[in-house]
Amino acid sequence: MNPVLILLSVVVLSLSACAQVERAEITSDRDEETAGARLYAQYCSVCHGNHGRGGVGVPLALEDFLESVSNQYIERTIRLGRPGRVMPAFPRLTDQEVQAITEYVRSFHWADEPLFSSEPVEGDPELGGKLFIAFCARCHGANGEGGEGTGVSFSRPTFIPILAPALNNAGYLASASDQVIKRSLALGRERTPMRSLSAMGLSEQNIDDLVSYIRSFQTLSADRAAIKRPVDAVLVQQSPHSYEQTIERIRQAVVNSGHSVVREELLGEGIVDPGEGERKQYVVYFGSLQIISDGLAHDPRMGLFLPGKITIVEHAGVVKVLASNPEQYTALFNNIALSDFAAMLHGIYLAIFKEATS
Amino acid sequence: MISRVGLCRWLGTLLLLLVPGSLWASDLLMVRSQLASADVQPRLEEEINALGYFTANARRVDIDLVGAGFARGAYRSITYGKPDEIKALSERYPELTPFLPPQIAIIDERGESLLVALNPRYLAEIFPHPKLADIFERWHRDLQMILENIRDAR
Ligand code: HEC
Ligand code: HEC
Repeated sequence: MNPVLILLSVVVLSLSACAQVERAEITSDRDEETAGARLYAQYCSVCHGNHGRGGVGVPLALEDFLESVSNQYIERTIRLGRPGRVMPAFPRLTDQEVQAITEYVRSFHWADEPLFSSEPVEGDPELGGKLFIAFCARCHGANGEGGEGTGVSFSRPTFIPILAPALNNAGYLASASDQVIKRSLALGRERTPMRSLSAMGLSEQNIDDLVSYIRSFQTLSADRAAIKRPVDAVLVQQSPHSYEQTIERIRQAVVNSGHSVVREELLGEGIVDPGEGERKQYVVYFGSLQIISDGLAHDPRMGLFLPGKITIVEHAGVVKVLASNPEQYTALFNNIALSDFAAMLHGIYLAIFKEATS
Repeated sequence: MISRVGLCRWLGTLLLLLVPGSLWASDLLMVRSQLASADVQPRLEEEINALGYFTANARRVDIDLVGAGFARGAYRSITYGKPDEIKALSERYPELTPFLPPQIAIIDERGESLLVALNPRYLAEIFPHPKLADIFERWHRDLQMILENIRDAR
């Protein structure tokens, strides 16, 4: 064969290989774009809304929000979440997936990523603390713990349009650089309760002092430790009474605890054929308006566990009363605001169990 | 000849297979539907039934939340399961009964709906019984498919 022909065919071959790779790269670029939308729909839209309008989570489509944060801020927020503040961490997404989601969030508002210097902000945290109490604490809490409830929709008193995020949160502090915090304060967020501090007439020095104060929360962030899972996922108590007596005693104890029986049935009613022999698995649902509205006020997803549910079973001649342990709800929902409610609910279950099985 | 891109794709797929739970890394499975909660409920029942599960207790939890000062008035809940499975599990494993039958809560949000369920893999974690592992894994797969179909339903 002619050596020139050989060379030519090698060149043609490698060129076509290049074209193949290039074409593949272009399509994979396009895949990436839709991958961001797809991943957002899969992981984020449930809380932040299909178009970033907010829901259980804060809105992400705000021009001022996207103008005051870096891509790194968004990426770290996805990775680290906000421990105890509902926003989950996504440690298992790949770097490409996190970047694709971030690009997609950016696309809610067509503008380039704003630039930030990496200069630390020098301010006086003590002065900042005074300003914080005067101007910020009523929404963000005296210690920057954030407003109670979630996001923009339910789970909050109707007169608050958007919940103020926690600023003392380890996830926030690790995601936001000093300059990101500074720009968030200076710009504010139009169409939210967060006003521009510059427009309010605070000086740049005031803003720097506030940034230093917010940064100082870092030293006292202990939120991670507070959301451990309880040892037992199930509360269980043996009853010395018969199956029927135990059911009756549970009803009584529910009423004595100040609640009412909402509904009762054989476990799986409507699914398991009732005619199938002597089943001894019974469910008593109980609650009160107060409990249900308190629970939903802290987290709408508490609807999964409300009203309360107690099962009474006879197994191998032993009668038991059981319930899911409310103390796991805080960790399940990553919502520290549920901890007092969960502890209270835990107490109610234990009191009912104790009285019914005494 | 395996192209560079092809090789990368292949490695990518392999990686996906090697990372269990990479799709949902959570104790809860949650999706948003653009349908209102009243419309989601029958769709959800259809999707559940299509995989051979029965549904029950599809109901509105009506309480006067609005009167209590909250933005929302009601939420819905559905329980589902296969008759023999629910019967057998509740008889054999009393400690599972608080989580039986599995439940999906539907919460409405400005004309859209959020669906929330406990991830069956969470149950697998808290009840690490070898005989239950396969059941929970199937529940996980099915529930994920149900919720994804609801998420995409128009
Ligand atoms: C009237 C209530 C209100 C007041 C007062 C207020 N904020 Fe905010 N702040 C908010 C809300 C609501 C948001 C979330 C806005 C959004 O949806 O992005 C926010 C967002 C922020 C953010 C961004 C946090 C994040 O996670 O992105 C910072 C930082 C902040 N506020 C600091 C301050 C400081 C410092 C002050 C006092 C000078 C202050 N805020 C006063 C309600 C308030
Ligand atoms: C279970 C609900 C939930 C899910 C799922 C969720 N978030 Fe969030 N997110 C929140 C909440 C709630 C906050 C506010 C935290 C606070 O109040 O302190 C938040 C805050 C944020 C913030 C900070 C916003 C700001 O103003 O600074 C970003 C960015 C964010 N989420 C992005 C995402 C992305 C991207 C995803 C998907 C990968 C996601 N979130 C998934 C609930 C959620």
